[in-house]
Amino acid sequence: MPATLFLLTALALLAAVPLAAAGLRRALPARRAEILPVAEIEFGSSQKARRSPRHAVLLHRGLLGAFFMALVALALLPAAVSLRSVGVGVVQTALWLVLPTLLVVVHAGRGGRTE
Amino acid sequence: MTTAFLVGVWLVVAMVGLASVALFERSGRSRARTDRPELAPPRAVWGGGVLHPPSRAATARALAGFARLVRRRTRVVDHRRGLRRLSRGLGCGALLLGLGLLPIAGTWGGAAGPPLLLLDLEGGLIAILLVLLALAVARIAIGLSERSAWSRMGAARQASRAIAGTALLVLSSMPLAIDAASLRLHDLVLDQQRMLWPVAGLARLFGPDVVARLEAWPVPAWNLFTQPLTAVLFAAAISLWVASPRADVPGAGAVGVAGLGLDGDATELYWLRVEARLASVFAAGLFVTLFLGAGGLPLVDPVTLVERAEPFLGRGLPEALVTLLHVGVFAGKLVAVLYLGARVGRMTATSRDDRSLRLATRRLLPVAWANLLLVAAIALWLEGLPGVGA
Repeated sequence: MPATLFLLTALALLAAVPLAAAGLRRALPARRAEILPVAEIEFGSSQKARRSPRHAVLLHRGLLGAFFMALVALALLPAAVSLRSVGVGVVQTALWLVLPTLLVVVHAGRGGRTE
Repeated sequence: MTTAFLVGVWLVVAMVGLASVALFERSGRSRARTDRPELAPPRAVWGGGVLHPPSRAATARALAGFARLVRRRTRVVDHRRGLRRLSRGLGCGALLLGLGLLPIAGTWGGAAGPPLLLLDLEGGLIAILLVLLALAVARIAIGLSERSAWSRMGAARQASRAIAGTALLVLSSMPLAIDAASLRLHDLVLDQQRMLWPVAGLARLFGPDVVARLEAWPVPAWNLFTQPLTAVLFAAAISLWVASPRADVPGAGAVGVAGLGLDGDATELYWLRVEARLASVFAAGLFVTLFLGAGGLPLVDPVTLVERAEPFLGRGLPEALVTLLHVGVFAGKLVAVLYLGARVGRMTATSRDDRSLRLATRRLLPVAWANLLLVAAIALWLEGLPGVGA
């Protein structure tokens, strides 16, 4: 209940400024807006624009790695939830999962540097 | 009464944070560099000179900003306005909900009791992750609601940042959960109010008198000092989430090539700024909660303060004052973290997205795994020590 009240009050406060502006805009006389045709965006035909998209390839490669790492990290969340009921002793077992993952990550990093 | 008090406190702290971010953005933008005077903002017409841009004319600037909002709106035909509105609501709503999760007010009078919270969840850290995911989804949707290629690039930038940030955020917040054996934010704050264990161990060597004196002047175990590497990793992770792929760079006053908000509509710019600033406030508040002991003060025990004031003022007033002190300290720490963040952002170069991603996956993630191992090993070791384990 308090959270809902805070959410609604804060949103109302934030929206008050543009709503007041919109009210004032409606009250003021205005001419009908003209429609301006805008040209399509072109990326150009320069040598730089036509070269191999190296940044995009790097970004894609990094994204894939990050995605799989996010999956592994998210698998830790249920373990953390059960910490309170099972106790810190469960960490000892979890180390058997974390240690090989760390080794794989470090090895991947070394492989990436030697490319 | 309690509900109104809590809502008021949270609103005041959020507004203080928003005003501070706006101030720091502006001061960063209009700061004159003595070594490069040609880069100084040309504001002499409006104010008292280059070194004193019109900070005194705050009312005039606010009116000018409002007048921009009143002007006719720019409508681009092929924008999906419904999706935009929905995304703005989702983004701002998620951030406000995240602010509601932060333990700004502590407990009544600083005593052990139920926390004064708007939203108290057992899985608070997971809720924080969900809030950030909702924010990322909202920003991606805004980028996709425009047919401009640059805005879609902004959406792709946000998506890549969110994917890289997920693993890093989880791995940098797990050590805190292991240390406190809980995911609840209030428990994480309580864990930081215990005495620093090396200090407690040393005091035990010198006898009970020293222990009693140290308990009267508590040195809190803030995670910033007990887990500094986790703090650095968390700051990097949350900056990946919070940094907005917007077209204008608020600290530098420049305009980026790809990002959201390129159609020059003042109302869209208003919402863009509100959301970006709310995200900064949320991130700073989270850092204060997780690493700086929320509103706790070092060397001061709130219960002792109340007990000393009780013979003169009764019980109610000192407890209320201590609660307000907690809120004030939280707000002060929030402003300090926002200032530091603005300064660091101003000093460091803006990294290209593929480079940020590479840094996160190749450098920071292995360090985060190693840090998790280190904290887990220390937690196990401390568990074996008598009188120290959690």
